[in-house]
Amino acid sequence: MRKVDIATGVFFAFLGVFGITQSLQLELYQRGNIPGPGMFPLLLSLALTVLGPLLIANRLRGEPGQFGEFERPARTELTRVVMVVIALGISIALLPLAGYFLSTLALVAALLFGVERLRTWRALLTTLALPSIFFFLFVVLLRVRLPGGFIDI
Amino acid sequence: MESLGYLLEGFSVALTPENLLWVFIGVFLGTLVGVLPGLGTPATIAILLPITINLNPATGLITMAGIYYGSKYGGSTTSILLNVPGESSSVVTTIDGYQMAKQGRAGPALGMAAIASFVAGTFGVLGLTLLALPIARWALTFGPPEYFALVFLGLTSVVFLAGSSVIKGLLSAVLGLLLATIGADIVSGENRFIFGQFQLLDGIEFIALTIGVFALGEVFVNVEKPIGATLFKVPKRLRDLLPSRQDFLDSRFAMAQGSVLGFLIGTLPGAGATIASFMSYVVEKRFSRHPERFGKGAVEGVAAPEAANNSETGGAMIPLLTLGIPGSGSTAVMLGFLILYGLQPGPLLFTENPEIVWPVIASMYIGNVALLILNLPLVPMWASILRFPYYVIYPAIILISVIGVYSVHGSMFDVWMLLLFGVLGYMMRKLDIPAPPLILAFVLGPTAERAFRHSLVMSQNSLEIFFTRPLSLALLAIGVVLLVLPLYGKARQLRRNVVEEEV
Repeated sequence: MRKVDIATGVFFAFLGVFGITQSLQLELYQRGNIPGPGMFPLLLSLALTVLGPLLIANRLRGEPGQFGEFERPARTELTRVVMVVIALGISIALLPLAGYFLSTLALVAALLFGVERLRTWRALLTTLALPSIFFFLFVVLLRVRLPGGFIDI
Repeated sequence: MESLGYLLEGFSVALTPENLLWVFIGVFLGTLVGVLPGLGTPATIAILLPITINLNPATGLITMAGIYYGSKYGGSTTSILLNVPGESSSVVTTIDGYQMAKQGRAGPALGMAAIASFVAGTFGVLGLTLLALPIARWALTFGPPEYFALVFLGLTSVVFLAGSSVIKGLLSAVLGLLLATIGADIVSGENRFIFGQFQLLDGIEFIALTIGVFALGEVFVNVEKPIGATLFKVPKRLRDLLPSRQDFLDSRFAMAQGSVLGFLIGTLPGAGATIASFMSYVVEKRFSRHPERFGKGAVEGVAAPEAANNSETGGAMIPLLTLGIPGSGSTAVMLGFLILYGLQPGPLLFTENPEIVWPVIASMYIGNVALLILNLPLVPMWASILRFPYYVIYPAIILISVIGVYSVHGSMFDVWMLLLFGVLGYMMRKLDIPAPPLILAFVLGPTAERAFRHSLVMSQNSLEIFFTRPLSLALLAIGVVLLVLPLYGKARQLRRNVVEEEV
């Protein structure tokens, strides 16, 4: 956790510096000497540049129990998470093209058959049922407009 | 006494069989739609608006009161069962509510949420009946420095008890405030940090942020390991699905303080249910005999914010009805609804339209009762959602998260943001950075910035204004004490005990 906290502190310090450079491109004061759009973000960015190093300093001299535990995921665990993120990303990319129904059908199938590696009739039923239930609930009952895609449903 | 007389007349209008039927329909539909993640109270009211449009004004407004209370309870249901807060005020309910669900106590959590909502909601409406005008006058004394100080106190309170490190809590809060500055500037209209993405002109969509950080973040953590069976235990016996006598004993003070605090904070225009629920949770944890239980499934951790969340409704109606100032997204929708029926909220509303105002207030009492009657028996039904295997639940959470976010503006950009914030939520969990300060800061960011800049305009850019007004000074001082306390001796030990092992 120690190295991770130090890296976190460095990240936030750099984010703060980036925020400062961006804020300085905005007006700090407007006509009439009133506070401009850059002032509040500048103060917040300054706070980040102070808090980042403060986290590092505290981590270097603090007690280990004070900062919680970093649960490093095992490689297989991380692979599962990445697979879910990628599957969701592909499904989102497909959403405007293939429409709600096909893209979510593909997503649920990828999660159950690809990530979970299920080969049961329940998995097949879930794959078909989930997109259908939510389609009925949101589109038919609540009249929420979802992307129809090329099949337009 | 004059108010009570008007209220009785209001009840005589509200308590017709037709109106009673509509209030029950409103509560049921409000809960049903509010349960869907992503659809907070304002969205739920907006979706169900067409149902009430053809009713007469009194019946329409009574139905809306039912929808309002039902949707609030529905939002709490998803917070408890799925760790998916429907709106910002439900965020704090997830902390202990979801932990209770994980421990097989989803039923008692849902039951306690309904009971605390009923008790505090009734208290809030009673306060509205008796104290509307005097409190409205008091709220008018709040200027920009006081609002800024109130937001500062709200944030520091959450940071104080939100995680293992105060610095990480502060980093989370500052990040939330920075995210809130993205988009067109609230005063000058100048674009800030949009990096050529015109979809960011209106800022980051709250629903995408909150569902991403909480719901998707949680899903990503849970899918690390294959979970073949159910994620949570759900007892089969009805008795185990309702709060026990001990739960009531543990929650009585939480309900009481949540009711009072929620009502008082609700009367401040702009403060809203979010601050109320967070503050109530913090107060309950701070004064609890067993603060170490919070964050691990303490029933008081559900009762206090739920009470504050619902009592705030009565308080928020005061600036809405007497000043025409909505205190939250929900009351903003209600303001639109009142105007739709030809009513202009303001000081004259009570004298010019008593035949409408008092039945509405009476219907809020009835809505509360209907909520309890309808939802307590339905607790087992909602809790049984968790009997499904997790491989069914998590794709369902992902699907309704995507639909919920897309349905707000029909924007694919928001859906991509959802994914981005899901990854952020996952990383925050892994790095032990608490998410609640980020969400609260994001919600309160515009209020904080507006109040800060107005204060500086009032004082010709002098920060002294925050320290020369007694109420502002007092609120800021309490906030600073909360931040500094953990650095010293016993207070440091106390805080460490409070947040020990809590994530």
